[in-house]
Amino acid sequence: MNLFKDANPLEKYIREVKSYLPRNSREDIGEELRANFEEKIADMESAAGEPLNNDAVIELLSDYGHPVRVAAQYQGSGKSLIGPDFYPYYRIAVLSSLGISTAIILVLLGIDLLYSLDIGDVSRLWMFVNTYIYIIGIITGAFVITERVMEKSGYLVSWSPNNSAPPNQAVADAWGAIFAVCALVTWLVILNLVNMNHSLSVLFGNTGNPFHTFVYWLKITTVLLIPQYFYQIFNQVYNKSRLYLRIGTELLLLVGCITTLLVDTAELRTTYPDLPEGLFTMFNWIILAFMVAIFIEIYVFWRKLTTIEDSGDDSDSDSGKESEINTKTEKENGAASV
Amino acid sequence: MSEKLEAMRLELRRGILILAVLTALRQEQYGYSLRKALQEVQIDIEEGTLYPLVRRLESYGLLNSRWSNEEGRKKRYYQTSTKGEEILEVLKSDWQQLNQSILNISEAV
Repeated sequence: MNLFKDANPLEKYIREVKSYLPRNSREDIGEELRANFEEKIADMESAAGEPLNNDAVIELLSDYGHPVRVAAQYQGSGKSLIGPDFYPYYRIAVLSSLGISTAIILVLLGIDLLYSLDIGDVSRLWMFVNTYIYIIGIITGAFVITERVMEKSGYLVSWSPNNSAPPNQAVADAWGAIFAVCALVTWLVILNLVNMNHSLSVLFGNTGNPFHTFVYWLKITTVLLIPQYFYQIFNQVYNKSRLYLRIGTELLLLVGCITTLLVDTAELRTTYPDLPEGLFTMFNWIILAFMVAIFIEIYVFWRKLTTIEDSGDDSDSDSGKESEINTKTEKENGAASV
Repeated sequence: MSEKLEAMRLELRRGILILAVLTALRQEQYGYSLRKALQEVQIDIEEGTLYPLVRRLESYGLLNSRWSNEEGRKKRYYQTSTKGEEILEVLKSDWQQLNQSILNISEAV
């Protein structure tokens, strides 16, 4: 369709530019734009010695640029949702989370096909779409909030090596924390694909479905871990209270594992007689492996705690004293916790 | 390479745009005549960049503007304001300093 076919091309162009401009300035800008064009057209006509035809005007307007682009120039750059400082990390966070979630969903779909399990109440296509929407939305929201909080607190401006982890660890640890937050958010979205009730009966295994019970405990601990890792992005040095909080979270997951192992699965097996025994065995082994990982993690954090207690220092992490320890084992710990 | 060179030249020119516009508008001009005046001194700025920039400078209070009706055609004239003159002096001084710095570097190597 030719936009300029049966009308004055300049007027159509101005009208379209105006439609992309804020209401309070569109008339003024449109008027000025028209004046400048008319002046230019008069100049060209005087040089050519004849009036400009429509085709020449259309060419002139095409050279000037798309109305959207012209209007955007008048509105300035404005403030972007994710600023240039954070954008590279945001991009990595989104892409890696989408990659991880795609892999996990494909595995889940594979299991679903093999065992005919009801792993979700949505179609396979929507499983992907929903997950991607959640992940992009949550990560974008997290980055927007982080950036605004950092701006308000002047974190980036007032930063000093004295109130952070040692320079050779700080970058790696902040990256580890960003990765952990993304992985945990992705994990939470994946867990939400499981179609289940959120009741105390499910939590304590009274429904006889160990899968749902375990997913519920995982959700709770994931929700508790996200703010802890989020805080770690800005402050990579642990103090005693943070270590206690972390150990407490791990203990909670340990309780969840034990509760899951104690669930009586007889009713589930009766309801779904086709479920293979191997699935339950494999599930129990996964829980046991999880428990081993949790024990290791608790041990690591307990060691960190005793290091602080031995030195008799429970100062806040901002002091940057040597007795405070950084989180150099955070990456492997983070991996074990989920 | 020519594309990258062009991008670098564009970036360099963009840096002096405000200086050029504030200097040229010490004499009252409307958008199109300003563009032509700049073109005459080899500063070729796209209209899509120049006109919004002029409005932005006006919103900062660096330019004064008025509408005029000449031969049935409306024109918006701009001129550097007192505040704009002050800013212009600072920018010019910075520009001369930068110019001198580049010359010093060139002579040093």
